[in-house]
Amino acid sequence: MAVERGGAGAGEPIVVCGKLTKIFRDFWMRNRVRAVEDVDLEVRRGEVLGLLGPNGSGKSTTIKMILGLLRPTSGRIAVFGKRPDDVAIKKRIGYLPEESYLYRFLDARETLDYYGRLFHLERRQRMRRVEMLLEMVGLEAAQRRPVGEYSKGMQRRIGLAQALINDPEFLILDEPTTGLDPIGTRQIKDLILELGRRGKTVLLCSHLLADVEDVCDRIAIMYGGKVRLEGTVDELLVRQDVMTIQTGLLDDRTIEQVESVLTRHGRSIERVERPRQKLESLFLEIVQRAQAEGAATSGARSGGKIAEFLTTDEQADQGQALIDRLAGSVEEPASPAQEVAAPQPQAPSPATEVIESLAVPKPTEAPPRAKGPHSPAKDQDVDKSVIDRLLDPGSGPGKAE
Amino acid sequence: MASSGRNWWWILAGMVGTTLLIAAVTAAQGFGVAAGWTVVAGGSVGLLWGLWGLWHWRTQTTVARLGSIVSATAAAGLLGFLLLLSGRESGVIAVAGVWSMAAAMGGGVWLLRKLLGGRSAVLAVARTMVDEAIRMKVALVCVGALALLVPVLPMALDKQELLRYRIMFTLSWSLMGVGVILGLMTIFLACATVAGDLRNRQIYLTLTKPLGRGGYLLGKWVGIMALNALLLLVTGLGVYTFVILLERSGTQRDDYDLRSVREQVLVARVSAEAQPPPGVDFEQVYEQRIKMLREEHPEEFAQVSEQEKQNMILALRAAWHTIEPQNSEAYFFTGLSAARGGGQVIQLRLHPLSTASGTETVVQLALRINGRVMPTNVYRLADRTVSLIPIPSSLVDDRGNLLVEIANVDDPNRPLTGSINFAPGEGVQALYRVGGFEGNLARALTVTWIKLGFLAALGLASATVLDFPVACLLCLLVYVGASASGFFEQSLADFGAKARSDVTGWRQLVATIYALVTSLRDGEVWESLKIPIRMIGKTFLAMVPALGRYAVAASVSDGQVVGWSLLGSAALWVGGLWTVGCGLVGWVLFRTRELARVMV
Repeated sequence: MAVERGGAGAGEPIVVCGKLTKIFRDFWMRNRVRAVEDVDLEVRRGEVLGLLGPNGSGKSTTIKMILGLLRPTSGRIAVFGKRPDDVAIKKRIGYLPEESYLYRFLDARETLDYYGRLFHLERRQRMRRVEMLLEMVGLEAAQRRPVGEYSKGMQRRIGLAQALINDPEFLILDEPTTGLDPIGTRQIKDLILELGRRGKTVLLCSHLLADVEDVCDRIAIMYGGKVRLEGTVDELLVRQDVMTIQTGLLDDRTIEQVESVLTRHGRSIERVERPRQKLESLFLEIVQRAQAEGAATSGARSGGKIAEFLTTDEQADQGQALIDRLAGSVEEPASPAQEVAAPQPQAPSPATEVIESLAVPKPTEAPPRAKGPHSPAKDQDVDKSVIDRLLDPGSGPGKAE
Repeated sequence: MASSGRNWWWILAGMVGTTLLIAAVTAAQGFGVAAGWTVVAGGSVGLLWGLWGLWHWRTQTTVARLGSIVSATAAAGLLGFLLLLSGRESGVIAVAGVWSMAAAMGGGVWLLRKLLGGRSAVLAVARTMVDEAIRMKVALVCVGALALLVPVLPMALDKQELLRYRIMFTLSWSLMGVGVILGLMTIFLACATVAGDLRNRQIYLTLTKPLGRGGYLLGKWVGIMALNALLLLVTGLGVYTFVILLERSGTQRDDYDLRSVREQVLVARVSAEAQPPPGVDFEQVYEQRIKMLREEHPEEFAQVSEQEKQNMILALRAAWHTIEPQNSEAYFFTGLSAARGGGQVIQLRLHPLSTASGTETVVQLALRINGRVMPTNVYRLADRTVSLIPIPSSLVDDRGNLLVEIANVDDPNRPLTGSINFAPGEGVQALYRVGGFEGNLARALTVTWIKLGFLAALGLASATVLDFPVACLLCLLVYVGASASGFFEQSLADFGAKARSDVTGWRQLVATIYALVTSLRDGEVWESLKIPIRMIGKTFLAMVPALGRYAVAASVSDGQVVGWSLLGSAALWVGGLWTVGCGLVGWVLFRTRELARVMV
């Protein structure tokens, strides 16, 4: 089910909304609310699309129409080429609503088991995924408590877990970080990045701009039921007239050298500062330290690693193991990472991506890229040759312009 | 922590096993006293260890559950012990019954959850429905009521009463109570689950998974019906057990009392209604009478409407059901070949609607059956109370017919008591055994289950478009109307005069409007109001199933068979037509509605 980023079908639209309009009417069929009006929107395979807008801008209504929970007043929607109320397409979709509408009387394990069964998952696979997801969202210790007793953040965590139980091709997250602590928020962002790396399609609906900016490839901004602006993050956010260079601590002499280089090119240093650590990083560090010291908590713990079935191709994994057994292989069983690597095409490493981006012109609609301040991809994504060329214009493959 | 909890459990099991082993070996060596002390000592240590473990590991779900069971058992045991000390043995049986039924229901729910544990999405919805019913306390209250009703009712009855009446009362009220309690539970559950899912928006998550709306409704229905099946099974077993306990309790007044229990109550009997004897045709009698009347009063009886004709025939039938003093009437029964073959006793069932002297009278009846005169006997007949007269089945002729002539004769020792008026239809019947109590009870419970299926479908369908309170009220209205449909039909038939009975369709409608206008013109406002009320009532009754026809509690308590034909009819009409119909309507309504609400 998993589709590799940049593989076959990447970029093809899996959701197409054309002239989508939703008007809520009262008993006398008078137009009460025009929630969505003439929205044209595409969600392309493999991208993380952020649907931004203030409260009441029509984001959730649009999502509910995509999910078949509402019917458009006019216009058309196709999800995976079919009508949104087609039951068959639901197998490929994961959905986290704006609030966690869970059964209060079920505990966390039963909740995940229930939604796993709705996807017809075989028992063993279901149990395995439930275990992984409970660990991932940090609710192992609270798994036998009824969900009705959970805090809002814990309910969001279990809500997120149910959205992932089927390893969805297309994940719809409606305000996913609402009610979550910084650990949970960070984890969701990491998860979206990871899913994006695996070629999953994510539609992220939020009014928290920082969340969207950190993880999305493309953004659509809604207001008053209409899409006001749409484009890639780079297209919309990158300032073409300013550049920031980040490096290790420099002494005054080196700074002067840099300044002189810039002066030769008709530029000057506008600001030199030591960046502050983000509060999020500080907070996470303290919590991790407390956990390392074994401090007790009755709430959710820090989530564990992202569930294995979301980061590997489970079916391919199982299929390879079966082939190995049938072939009577005498080799030692490979580690999980090796098992995954063998049958799957290797995703391009961040370093390769940088080289490729330098070697070929950037397409108008760039393939989705991992972003975020904590993403390993982001760190390696920095092209250090630019610094080298600034310090020594004579070196390197080309001249700075 | 969990592994330590398991260690506690294994140590406890080891203690019990070791104690039993030592006691067995010691006893085998002939040291009985030593074996006894071993059991006491080992048991005490094991008990203390067990109680400590239950307290210490109570945070674990399994141990907490086990602790609840142990606590409930200990409380029941203590209560039983106190009742035993105070000499109330029946109370001990009732407490044991309540505990057993509660345990059976608890075990049954566990088993049910396992049975509904497949990977099917419909079964997943069904199992969550069962969880919701139990954990949201809706069903728990009903389960508690059932667990109290069935064991306590038979034990609370006065032992001075005839055993037959006690058993009939137990059966009648238990089965009726079970039907009503489960009916209400079904309605509340069905309405609450769908309306709750829509109101609390759990439906957003469920129906964005690969599950259609029909599958969702089906899952809910399966869950409710699985729970109903369990509760009916457990209560049915409870009713059966307590009835048999009563029968064998030795509290009967005399042998006849016990025999009547076995022959009239704990059986399945077929009834044959009396027909006019061969050669008597009320239609012909009417024609002869009307001919005579026309000869005497040619103008008055020149035109006789169909209604008047039917009324006269009804009067003739009523006269046939009335036996004046020093008079007799003949009643003919057919289709009794099966009873003849069994060599059993046929019961002549007399149900007087009224006797001459009010509430109770004593009459002397002489019987002649298929030409054979039976010994004259004195019978005490009371208004609306059934009396049974045994008749040897050998008197049935080869064609399975029985002609019973009943004479209301003078008792030389008593004053003349007057006429006897039997209820039309069921007033004079012949009953014979065709099966046992167990099968009859099982069929009755199955019919009840089928009726509950309709209520579940109705509740689910209503809640797809209505909020919980409105859906509940609608379902309760239909439930009451459907259960008492026979009574309402009779009441409506007597409620105000019909506009015209000899026309149908649009002519009937025109006649009704004409009657309404005429009544208003004549200033008979109340009479005119009766016409639309009657129309509304009849329309409503046409729109609900006649569940009253499947009221099985009375049949079982009266020892009358709940036949396969009734069961088949219930399955076909209530199950096949109304339940499926309601389900389809609910599905169509559900498909057409939007699941989300305005949120901008």
